[in-house]
Amino acid sequence: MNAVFILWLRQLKRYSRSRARMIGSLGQPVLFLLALGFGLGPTFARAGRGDYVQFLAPGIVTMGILFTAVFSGIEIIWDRQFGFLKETLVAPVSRLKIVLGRTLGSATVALIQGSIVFLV
Amino acid sequence: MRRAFGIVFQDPSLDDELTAAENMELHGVLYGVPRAQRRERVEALLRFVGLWERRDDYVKRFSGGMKRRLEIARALQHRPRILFLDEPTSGLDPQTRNQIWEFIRELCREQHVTVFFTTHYMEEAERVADRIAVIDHGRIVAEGTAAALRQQTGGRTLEDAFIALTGRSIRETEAAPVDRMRMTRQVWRGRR
Repeated sequence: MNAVFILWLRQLKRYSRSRARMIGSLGQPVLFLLALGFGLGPTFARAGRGDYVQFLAPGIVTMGILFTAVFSGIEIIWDRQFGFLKETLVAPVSRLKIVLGRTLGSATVALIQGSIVFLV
Repeated sequence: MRRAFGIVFQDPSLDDELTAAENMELHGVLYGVPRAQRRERVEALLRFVGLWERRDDYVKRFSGGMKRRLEIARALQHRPRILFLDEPTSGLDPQTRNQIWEFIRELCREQHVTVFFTTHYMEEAERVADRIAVIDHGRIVAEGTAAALRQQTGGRTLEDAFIALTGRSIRETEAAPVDRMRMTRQVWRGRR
């Protein structure tokens, strides 16, 4: 159980430390919201469907979460390249726990990401 | 079984985004070192390899030698009985190399750890190892102490013995996909 926790913690630490990732993953939804929201908004309103931004927001939140999740998958490949994956694989911990720890970590990160976008 | 040995790979396997202490902690938890012992062991080992002052620095700021030392310290954290080192000194300067062998010898003497290592440098093998095995094309072709190997082939140094045993032709082995991938990464990193 500790192993799961420490891998989870690692994922969160990595996330909180990479500013580029945070800005990038926040900038993208903002861009979509501004460009699409205000660009297509008037047309949408004229078609009689109401507030376009409101229609768009949930989709953007979902996309943000999805994006973070995909990135977490890429991170495994990244780990392999930097050799760190080996360290976890030779440890006397079952593969299931490693996967579980990583997955939980990524899920948490995605959740945080989604919440931030949601609040914005 | 996996708890009984420590391993240091040919290329670094540390997490660059974590600090030295965090890397140690992660290893300790993965190997089930009790929390109470973890702290003192981490401190003792980091002092042993001279990285205690740098414990809160990110590993990405470390030099190759420091990473190696940290990895050795990490591998020792769970008190293994055998320590495997895969070319621990490749790509390091002589100072760092000597320092590392110094550690390793101290280790053998004080902590009674069996050390199993591979190297391309014959002087190192001769100086450090009790028993040497020469491997060619994945096969052990000779085994024994340095003196025995020299005697067996009539060479003056271990290097002569090695050449006598394995021939003069240069080995051509293809890089495995993973190695190729690493090479690409190095090229890519070098360009920045």
